[in-house]
Amino acid sequence: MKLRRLAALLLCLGLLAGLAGCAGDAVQISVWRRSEGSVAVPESRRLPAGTELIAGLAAAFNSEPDEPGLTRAAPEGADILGWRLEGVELKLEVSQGWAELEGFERTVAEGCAVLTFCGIEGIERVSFYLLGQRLGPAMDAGDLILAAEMEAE
Amino acid sequence: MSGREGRNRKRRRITERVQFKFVLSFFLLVTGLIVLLNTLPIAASRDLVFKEKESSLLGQAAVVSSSLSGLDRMTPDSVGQVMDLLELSSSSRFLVTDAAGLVLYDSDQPAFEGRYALLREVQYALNGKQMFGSRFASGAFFSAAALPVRNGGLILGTVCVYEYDEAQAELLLSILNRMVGISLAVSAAALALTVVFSRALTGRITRLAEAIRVVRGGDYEHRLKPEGNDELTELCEEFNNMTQTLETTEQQRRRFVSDASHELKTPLAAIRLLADSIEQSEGMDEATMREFVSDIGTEADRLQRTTEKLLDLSRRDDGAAAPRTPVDLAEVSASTLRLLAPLAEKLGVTLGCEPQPGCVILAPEDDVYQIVFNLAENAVKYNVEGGSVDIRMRKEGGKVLLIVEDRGIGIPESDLPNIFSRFYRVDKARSRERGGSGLGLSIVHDAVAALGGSIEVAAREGGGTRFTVYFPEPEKGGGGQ
Repeated sequence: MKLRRLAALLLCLGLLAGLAGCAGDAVQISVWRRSEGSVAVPESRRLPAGTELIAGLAAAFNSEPDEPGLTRAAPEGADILGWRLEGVELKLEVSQGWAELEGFERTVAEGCAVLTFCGIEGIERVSFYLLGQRLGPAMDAGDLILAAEMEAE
Repeated sequence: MSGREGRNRKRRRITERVQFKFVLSFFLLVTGLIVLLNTLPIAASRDLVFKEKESSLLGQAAVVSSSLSGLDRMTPDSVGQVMDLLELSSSSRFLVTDAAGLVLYDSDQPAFEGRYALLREVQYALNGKQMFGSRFASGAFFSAAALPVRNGGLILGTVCVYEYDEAQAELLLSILNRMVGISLAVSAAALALTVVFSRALTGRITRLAEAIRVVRGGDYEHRLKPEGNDELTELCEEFNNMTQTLETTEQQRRRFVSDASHELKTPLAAIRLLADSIEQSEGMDEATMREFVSDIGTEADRLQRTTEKLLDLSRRDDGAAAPRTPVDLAEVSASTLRLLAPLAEKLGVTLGCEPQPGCVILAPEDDVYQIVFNLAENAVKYNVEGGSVDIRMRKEGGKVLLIVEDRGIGIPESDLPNIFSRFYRVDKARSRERGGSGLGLSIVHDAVAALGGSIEVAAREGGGTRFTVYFPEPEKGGGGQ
């Protein structure tokens, strides 16, 4: 008898948890961050229900990471300001600070942005614009090397 | 628990046995040592390989970096030309990037060229640091080194060198496997030897426990055969000594019970015989009847004396101690001789005493009287007509000595070791005839021992016996207890 009551209680709790999950309808996303140990690593974030995916990703990309040991992919002042999707290419409007990035700093920032947005279905390439001016060629995830593991020949 | 159950061996779980604990602890110790001995050399060898890789890869990176540093601008073509001129190790992979991390050259995977390397080693090198990392996993050493390519104060790009080495890893793994094999064999041998040795050890303990059970069952003649020369051998020897003492004590107890029964039975039998004679003899004349009644009184006195002495010995065995007071041996001796004077006169024995002032001991007064009286009475009783008894005392070496000697019949040398045993008589017939119980000297011995003293007996030159009692001298300022 006790076992039945317990099972019923657990079923109710499960249903409540399920309903709460449906009501929240949060989306799990990966935002690539800079890390001292591995240059670029993904950070799991949840977008609130009803948030537009690309806009939510851009906002998350511009925000500070939650996980300790991670930093923003782009330095302070280098932000994604807007976006437009043309076919499979996502065109990101970036700030002046972004355009002024040089060398590896810019590679890491753009690489992390590419990895973040190419994770969305339907986006294959990402390009960067400042005031409508293209900053460089569009990049996809294949343009980036994240590990240089060697194997026996 | 019945006697039979008590004799049975107690059943124990295997984990409760000493042998199991011994084997387990020794095995764990050996295993721990083996693990340590296996781990340390492998770790040391691995570190050596890491060092060798670091030196080798950074050296190669330095050569490439130095060669590229002469370039004004690093492009895929210019870098490729320089790399083609260098004689590079074919076992290593060389990756060259520009300052943005763009791969300009990859000796192993040309497909990487034109892609951006988001790699830690590139990041380190572009920050102006040299970097080396190596790890041993999946049967291979994977090592990476990176150096910046500098031109003046400017960092043009990076050189990364990678190496995937299975040969050294195989060597290390084969050594490890061999050591594991040897270790397993050694562990198995250690385990087997531990089982054998612990069984030998616990077997001796088990035999000792079995022997204790046998002795507890009443077999005091049981002895263990000592094996070896270790602590357990000592334990076996002590067990045998203890059993010997038990056996002797048991024999003494049996003899005492037998002697006591006999000593009590003899006067009782005499009383019964005399009483029966009076009862059954009609018309017995008054003189004979008086004689019989007198004999009954004598036997009753003997019975009373024996009983009193047995009670006294029993009291001493129980350890009952009377309060101690300072007692002057000269006074006690004089008093005793006064008591014995009629008997001595009757037997024609001369009594003598040399009182020595200051021979005071700390003891119960009654005990000292008993000691002096018993020794002096024996000396008078077992004397010859015209013989003498002398009592002397003196202080010597922190002791107070009491010497009682006679010129009597003496004690045979063979009887001397036994004269303090209970109911032991040198001449049984003469002893009974003179009213002896065979307990007097036992009481003296026990009383002296209780006072912390000792007693010696020796044949006196010219005939007779000398008893010397050594009492401890009281500490100065010590009072009675």
